[in-house]
Amino acid sequence: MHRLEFKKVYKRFGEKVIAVNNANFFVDEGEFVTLLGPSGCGKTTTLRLIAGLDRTSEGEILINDKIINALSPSERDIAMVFQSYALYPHMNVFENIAIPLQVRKMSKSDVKTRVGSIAQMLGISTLLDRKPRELSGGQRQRVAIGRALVREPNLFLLDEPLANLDAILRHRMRGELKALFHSVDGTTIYVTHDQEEALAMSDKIVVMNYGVIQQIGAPEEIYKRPVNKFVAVFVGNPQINIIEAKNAEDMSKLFSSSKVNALEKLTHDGKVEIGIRPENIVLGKGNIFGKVTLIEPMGANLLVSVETALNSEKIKVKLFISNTVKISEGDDVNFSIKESELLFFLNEKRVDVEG
Amino acid sequence: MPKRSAIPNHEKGYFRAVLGFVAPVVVFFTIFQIYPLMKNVWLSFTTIKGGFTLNNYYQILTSQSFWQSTWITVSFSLISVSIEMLIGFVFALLLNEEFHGRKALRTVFLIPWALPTAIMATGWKFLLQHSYGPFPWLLYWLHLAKSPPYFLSTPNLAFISIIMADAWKTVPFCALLLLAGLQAIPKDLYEAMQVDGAGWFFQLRKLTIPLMIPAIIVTLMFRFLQAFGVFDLIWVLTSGGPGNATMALSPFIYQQTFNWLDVRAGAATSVMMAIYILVLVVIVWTTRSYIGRRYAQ
Ligand SMILES: Nc1ncnc2c1ncn2[C@@H]1O[C@H](COP(=O)(O)OP(=O)(O)O)[C@@H](O)[C@H]1O
Ligand SMILES: [Mg+2]
Repeated sequence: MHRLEFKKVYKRFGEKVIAVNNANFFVDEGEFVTLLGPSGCGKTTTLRLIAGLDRTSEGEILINDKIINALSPSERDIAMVFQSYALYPHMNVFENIAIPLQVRKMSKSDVKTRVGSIAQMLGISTLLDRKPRELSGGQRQRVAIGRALVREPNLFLLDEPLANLDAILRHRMRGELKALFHSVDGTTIYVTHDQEEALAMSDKIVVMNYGVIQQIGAPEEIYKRPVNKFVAVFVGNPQINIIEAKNAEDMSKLFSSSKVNALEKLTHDGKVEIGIRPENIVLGKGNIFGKVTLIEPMGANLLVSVETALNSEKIKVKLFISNTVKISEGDDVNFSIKESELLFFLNEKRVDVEG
Repeated sequence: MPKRSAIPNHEKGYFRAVLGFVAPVVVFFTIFQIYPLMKNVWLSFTTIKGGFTLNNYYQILTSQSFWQSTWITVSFSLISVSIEMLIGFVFALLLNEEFHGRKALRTVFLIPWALPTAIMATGWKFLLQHSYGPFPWLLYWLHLAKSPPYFLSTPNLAFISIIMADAWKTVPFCALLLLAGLQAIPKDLYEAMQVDGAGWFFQLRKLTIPLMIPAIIVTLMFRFLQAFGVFDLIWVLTSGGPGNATMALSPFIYQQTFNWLDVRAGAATSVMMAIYILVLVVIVWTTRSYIGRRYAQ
């Protein structure tokens, strides 16, 4: 198994684009690490740097503490599942999966048993003599994964393997992939723009934006202790409620006096915002009053938008309640906020606020 | 008052418009293609007095010149097209690589193909001339030949000269068609193979060539039919000589018709050539659909 490390890695395209901007992180043996970020943030570029398909502009990439910058893709012993799957269109499923073994000059009978067992594992045994064009999206994805798994590499790279699947299949495959990659115990780097996927699958998440790594941490840490507003907003569905703390009068309508004092002090240093996750607002209890403006049923829960008038402005927050509660748009409601779970941002960076 | 007709008025106008568009093409084809074709076939089956005869065919099919021309045409086509495809493929691979000035090179590379054949053939004639041509003398000075070779007046060398000149002109064309095929292969397939550990030759064998089969077949067919009808290059360079060493079918037909004024023999040879080409097309089409099935994507 491989251990991967990025040291001060930059990747520039031309003068203007910095696709990867001073990336530093490591992936331990056997870890399942997700690169998470919006489209265009440099996730694919990072994977391509690891695979050797692109060369770093600066910095070092290490595998097992050896610098591999100069190695060609074929010398790196890395398997990659491309976002497009990159299946060979003229070969059938068997031939597609067999290619990495043929490159290694494995005997015909060994190839046959290996491909057979991988196909069995992925549930595509009956498709072996089909061409890629005769497969559904989900089947293609399995073939691409089979091709990556078949040679038992030390490092797997997966570039948004679920992005092209429909929602139901995506949810099912999420679980299957997680189980699969835990069972084959290789080191895995998984790219996605879907924060739910990242939270559900990863040992560790690397959050990126505009080529810059924002935060590295376990899913729970990323969710509960985001380092900045970007991470807080990007991770979590529905999005976290953000309220700007402008003046003490407004804040005192929402928070206890000790919090208000602390926030007041903080506003001298810059823009202060408060993040409240929807699940940390409790409806029907407390002394904040507002009006329901929108109800979005989400199955077991309802996502309720509540508008509240502060002294100087009206704010809107979203919160969850069970679908058994009788509520309709236009209702007057009261709610409270779990102050222990609040996130505070000073100039977009998260800070701790005492009190 | 006009009676109701079978075709409503607006459709009549439509019909007339269609006629107007189609008529020029029909007239053009009739005058310049169908009429000469029919006339040619008719000529080949008639005597000077206009009676039906098979004698024209008997005459050419029993003449040595016809079969020699056939042989020269077939061997010229096979050899020149194979060479051109091979070199063209190598050039296509080179031009498909990323390097500085690739665009400029691609343009310059096409010049031989853009030149009118008669002009480039005149150029080659100069290069190969025995008395003052640079090519024979270069070989001599480099000690590759004991004396400057007579390229255009030695039968085998004349044949080779024509192949060389044809290759010079059409390699860029083959390369261009093949390059288009190469560029249609998605890049990520190569990247996937590299990541899977494949080297250059493995990629060529398992990816490039199989995926290029359709482009190769199209280029081959195109070039082969073109080579089969070769005329201007030979006419300018050797006029079919020395003797009949480079007398392919097209120049042979010209010679029969316009030099010997044996219009009916020329017509019969043309019909034979049309039959050859027809057979060729049928062969290409059947293998194409077979290979197409094998390599369908
Ligand atoms: N070959 C390239 N040439 C120029 N710019 C590129 C190239 N590849 C990627 N980029 C740019 O780098 C940035 C990151 O791209 P990418 O890594 O594909 O993002 P992601 O995979 O996160 O969506 C984007 O702004 C993209 O336009
Ligand atoms: Mg991407």
